[in-house]
Amino acid sequence: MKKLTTRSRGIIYLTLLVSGLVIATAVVYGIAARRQDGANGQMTWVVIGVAAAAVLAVGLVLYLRGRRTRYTRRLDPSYYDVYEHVSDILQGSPLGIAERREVLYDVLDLLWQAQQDGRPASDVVGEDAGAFMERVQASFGYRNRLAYHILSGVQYGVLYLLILQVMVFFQEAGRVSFFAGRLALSVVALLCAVSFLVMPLIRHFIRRQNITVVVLIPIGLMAAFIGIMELGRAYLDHIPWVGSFIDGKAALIPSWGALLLWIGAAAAAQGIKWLMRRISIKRLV
Amino acid sequence: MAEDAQLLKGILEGCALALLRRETTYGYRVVEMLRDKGFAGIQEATVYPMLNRLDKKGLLSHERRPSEIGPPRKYYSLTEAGERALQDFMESWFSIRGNVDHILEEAKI
Repeated sequence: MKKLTTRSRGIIYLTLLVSGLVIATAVVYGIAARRQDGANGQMTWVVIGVAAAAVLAVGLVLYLRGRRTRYTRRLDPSYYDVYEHVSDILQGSPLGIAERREVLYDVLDLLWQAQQDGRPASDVVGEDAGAFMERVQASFGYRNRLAYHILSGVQYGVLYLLILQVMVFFQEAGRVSFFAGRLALSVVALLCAVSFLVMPLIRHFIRRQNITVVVLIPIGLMAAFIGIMELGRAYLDHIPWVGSFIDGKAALIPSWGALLLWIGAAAAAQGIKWLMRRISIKRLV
Repeated sequence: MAEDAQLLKGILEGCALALLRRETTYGYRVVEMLRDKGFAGIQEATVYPMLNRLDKKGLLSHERRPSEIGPPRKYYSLTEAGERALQDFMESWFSIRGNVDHILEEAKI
């Protein structure tokens, strides 16, 4: 842990906390289900699976945060700290994989040179690494515009929708058609909130280097979702539209045509983003 | 202040194009050359996004070459479009400088 930066240590502690919460929730849920339904071997395996996934997640975060390449190994802590911050911001940036690698290589080279010349790492990215990365993104034709967030939200939404539909299919163990799967309306609302609100917020706070908020946002959303659902069920269920929201289901992918339409929407969003970038590059001043 | 920053940005771009016309080189070296020429406070944080922007606009091109000390390094060189942009900048600059010099000379008397 000693060679890790403060940010990495913070992320690992938060991962440990979240994993602990996930394991504790799974165990409590498992025990409650056992008491209610009697011995259930399948539930035990589910709890073991969730716990194993949580432990694996901690191991993965530990590995990723401690990993150093032959180039980054030579950076002194203050320079590595800046490199790591840039790398974290890039994870949530709209830049493509090749562009991210390009920026990382360039920043690494600049940091390495600054270290050789005894100049501070802050010369490379300025006092605000987030603002620096905004300028770098803009130089690639990406601007922090609402349209980008909305288009990215569409893409995330389609991805999560497909994942949920696959989960529903497996939940039924393939007994019914993939296209017969129906999603709860409340889950669809949650999916929209995650795609259009949570993801941009997480990207924003990564840029601002506020990792605690990054972890707290999804936990807060989940808590708010559970709270709203429970309150709605307890006090507002008699209102027709609230009842529909809580208990209603919708078939969002009822056919091959609908599936193609969703995939087409995600592809169209990518196309529009590409066009916006080309126009942005032409207008670069 | 915003106008000052915009003016300096345009001047820096012109200077970077002029430096890269003389030699193909990497970003850090451009920063060093700008500092040597009097832009003492200039930082990589300003120059790197600028070079990247000029690259994406097609005024510069780049190739990666192995570096002895670090990862492959990006070397920038001027393109034909960059050459034309530099000519435009020089014409504008000499014209503006002439006008300003003229006004300031008159103000002295």
